[in-house]
Amino acid sequence: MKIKKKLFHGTSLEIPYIKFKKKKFGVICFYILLVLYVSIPFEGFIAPYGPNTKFKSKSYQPPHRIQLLHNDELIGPFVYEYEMVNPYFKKYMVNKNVIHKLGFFVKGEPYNLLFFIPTDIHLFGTVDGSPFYLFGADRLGRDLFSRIIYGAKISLTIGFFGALLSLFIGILLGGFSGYIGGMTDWFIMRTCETVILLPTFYLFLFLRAIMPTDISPALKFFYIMMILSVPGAFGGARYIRNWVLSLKNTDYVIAAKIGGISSLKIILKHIIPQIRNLIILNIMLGIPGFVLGETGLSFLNLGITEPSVSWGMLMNSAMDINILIQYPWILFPAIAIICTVFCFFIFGYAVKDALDPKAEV
Amino acid sequence: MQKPLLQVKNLTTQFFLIKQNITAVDGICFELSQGEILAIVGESGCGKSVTSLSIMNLIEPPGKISSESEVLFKNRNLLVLDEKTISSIRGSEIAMIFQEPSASFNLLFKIGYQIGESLRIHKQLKKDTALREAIELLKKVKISEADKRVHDYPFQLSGGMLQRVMIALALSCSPSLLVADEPTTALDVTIQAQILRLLKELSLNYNMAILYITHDLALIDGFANNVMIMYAGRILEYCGISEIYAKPLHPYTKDLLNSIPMMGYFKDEQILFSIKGSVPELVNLPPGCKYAPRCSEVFDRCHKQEPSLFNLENRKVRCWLYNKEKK
Amino acid sequence: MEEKKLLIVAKNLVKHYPVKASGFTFSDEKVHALNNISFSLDYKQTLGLVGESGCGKTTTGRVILRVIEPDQGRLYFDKEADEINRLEALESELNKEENLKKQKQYLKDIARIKRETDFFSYPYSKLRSERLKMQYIFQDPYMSLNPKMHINEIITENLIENRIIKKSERDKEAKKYLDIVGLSKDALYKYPHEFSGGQRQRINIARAIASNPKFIVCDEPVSSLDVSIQSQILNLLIQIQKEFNISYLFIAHNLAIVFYISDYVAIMYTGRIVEIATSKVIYHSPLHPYTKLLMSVSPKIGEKKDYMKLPFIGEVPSLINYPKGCTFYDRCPVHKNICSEEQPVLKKIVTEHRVACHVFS
Repeated sequence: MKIKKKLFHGTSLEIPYIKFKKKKFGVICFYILLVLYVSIPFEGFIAPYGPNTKFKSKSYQPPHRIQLLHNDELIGPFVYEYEMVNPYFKKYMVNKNVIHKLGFFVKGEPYNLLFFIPTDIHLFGTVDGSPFYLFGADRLGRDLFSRIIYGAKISLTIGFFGALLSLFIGILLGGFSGYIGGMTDWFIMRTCETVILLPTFYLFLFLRAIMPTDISPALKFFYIMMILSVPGAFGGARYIRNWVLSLKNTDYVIAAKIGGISSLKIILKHIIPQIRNLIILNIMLGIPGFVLGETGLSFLNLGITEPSVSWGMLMNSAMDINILIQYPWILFPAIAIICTVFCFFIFGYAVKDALDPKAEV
Repeated sequence: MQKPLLQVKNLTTQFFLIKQNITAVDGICFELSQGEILAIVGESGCGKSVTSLSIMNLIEPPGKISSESEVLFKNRNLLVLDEKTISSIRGSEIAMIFQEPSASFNLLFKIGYQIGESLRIHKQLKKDTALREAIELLKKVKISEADKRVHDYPFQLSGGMLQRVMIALALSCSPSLLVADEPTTALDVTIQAQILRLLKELSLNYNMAILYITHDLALIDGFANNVMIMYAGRILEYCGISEIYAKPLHPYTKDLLNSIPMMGYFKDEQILFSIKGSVPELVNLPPGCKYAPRCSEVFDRCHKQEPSLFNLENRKVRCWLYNKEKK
Repeated sequence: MEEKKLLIVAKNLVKHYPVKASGFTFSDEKVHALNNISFSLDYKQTLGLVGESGCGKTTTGRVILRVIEPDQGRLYFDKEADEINRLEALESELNKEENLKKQKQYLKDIARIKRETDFFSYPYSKLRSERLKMQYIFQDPYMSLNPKMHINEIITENLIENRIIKKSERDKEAKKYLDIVGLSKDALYKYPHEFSGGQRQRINIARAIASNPKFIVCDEPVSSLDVSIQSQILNLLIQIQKEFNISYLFIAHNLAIVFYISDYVAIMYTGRIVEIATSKVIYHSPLHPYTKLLMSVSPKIGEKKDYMKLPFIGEVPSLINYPKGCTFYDRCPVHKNICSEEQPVLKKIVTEHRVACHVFS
């Protein structure tokens, strides 16, 4: 008989883990987020098209309706052809005579699976290669569903790494400041407070305005992430510093000092691990903020720009109310954003309650 | 024969935690007469604090007092009363003082106001009457310059003074029973003596019974009338104060007395006795007598079967050595 | 004039904490925590420091190890009597010298010798290596061990950081000390929260003796433990002293325990030592009124205390408004006029028994 080793057995995370498992919504959201993140390397597989594949003749085509019965015959999943009847207002009419069958694992555009395996099999699509729009098309005839899939990569990673980076800088700053104390502490804290006082939004705009425009998309991505995470780090620094201040006089820290342990080692081995739970929480509850921050910036065309895709950028096309009224499927990226942020919140608060020894199960 | 003030029958309190269930107090029975000072002595985990909270029905989930337990105070079972009735008893007829006086006061209100609060609620006094009463109470607990102290905030007072204020607060409605949970453990020896002297005086003058919980067996000499030794949620020994020092019966009591260094012991003259092992974890209690793993007078039956509390003229011992039936 | 080589000679320790008015400003008031404490300790000897809270005993323990830096004072650790005498002779020469140039020369010499002799003047590099010879056992078994570190790390951290042993030898060393304090090797990879208070205190002791110290400050090591465990730890400390030739500064507020374990006892009150003698001498013939007060209120088994007939006890005065006379004046049943004018100093009454009281001089 196989004896399964319980996860976290014997560690201080065991009871929080048991408590967390009882929170159904938290667990569900965790799995949803897990699926979202794990699917990032498979983005090319899941999306039927590349992020910039255009079909000029299908501009603003509404989402295909998946049919099963044609002339009362079950011929499997398929879609009808949509023909543009009004090129000015982009109106379409369904042509029930032309059928495009749908299938799984169809051949499509070539891409790199897991970023390095060249292949051209997609999860689903039309067998004959004609355009298939699950969520409709945008002005240039690009598949919105594929663009949402590719946009996930940017939004999710900026969210996660932005939060991580912000906390890392906060720990460095706050830990150093709190441990050294004295004038250094005073000086660093006043600097942090000054930065916090600056209106966040205008700070973002300013930092974005001074960004050089001719840098590569990868560098741009990194720059945007820095803009989002650095100002937040100063707020986190104050929080960390308060904890360091209260922890640096505990007996075991004094014992380490007596033993001749260096200050850096004390901060890393004795102080920071005590606030591990808080750090985890801060990251988790901070990620939605970063996702929304990137969304906001890109929505204003100040963040990720063409040719990269992010959810915020997709929202940018939804700015015009006329477009929204005529082609409402443009709003689908918003649903993706809301769902993701919502999941992070539910999951984050579930973890917070599980870690809190006094919160009821 | 006067009926006892407090009768505790079969008190069992359990805690239902995520990983395990703990029986903190297991079937305790004892009585307290009017004006009597009973000391409950035991180490950490023995259940003495849980006992005091259970008596006042202050156990919250995940803790639960067994439905078969009874706490008869002036012939009323406190465990079955509704919240309103028992709230009126708590603070007026039964009062409680705790170990950390600074934790029992609201730092935002003056102490005069906080003492007055109890008076206003239980005795329905008006604000100025309550203030005058508060000053009188502070004088009763020997706080100098009571009329000035009454306007102080808790953080302006020392630990010893705060403890006296807590006693004043407890006395405000002339309770017949005072439950004191280690009130002097955090205080210096000199202040400890003053507080004990105060409590003894108050008990004599107002015929107030005291349930005094402590871990210090030496402290209660000259203070308590009777003493009850608890271990792993059970009573091991119960007798009068002079007997426990002169003639302790239970091996645990004997071992405890032998392991406390007395004044006048020096390391090159006496060897300090150590009880081997440590206090058992409540989740892992052995079958049979709970003290058996550490007992120096243990024999076979001790490991197999737990002894009941045997009655011997005016004393009770939970030990097979004093089993009246012959084997 | 020192005559023989002693492990510790502490002279004129002073520590006054400034009272903070607000933020940066300090008021003129000071908390007079330590006022001219002097004592000495021989090898393999225990000096008990007893007094109530606020008397300065913990501060003394921390100042000796330079966890708190003293305002004034000298500490000679394991120094020959000649070295101490030489330094003090130089200083008295300096006081007599009037020539400025010669004064400067004296000052330079004195500073140089101080850096080699006076523990409080050791430069950081020398301090780090000397510190391992002095260790500290904390009162609170819960806060003195880092809850996120394994036991083997806790015990050997000092040794590895100071390059006394290699990381590969860690478990072997830790096991050696666990054996000495009576814990099994299963403890090596456990966390502190898996142990009881008494066991944690043993781990504390293991950590202290791991660096092979000659001197350990025991700061109320048994006050937070259950009564039945206290004697175990006391016996362990006595055994370790015999086996490893360690001297203790045993700080406690329980008179009986201090008398039991100490060779010499110093009674402290408001930052001064008011009486110092061997434990037996103080027990049999206490002289200072404060000592007599402490002994009368300490619980003794079998001697039924009549709480109604206790002497006047009074309260400890504030350390901020330090009176110019004896601090015990208000509570003293035998005070004389001179007691409120002049502070008494420790004077030898008989050999090995010194009291700071005008009644006895």
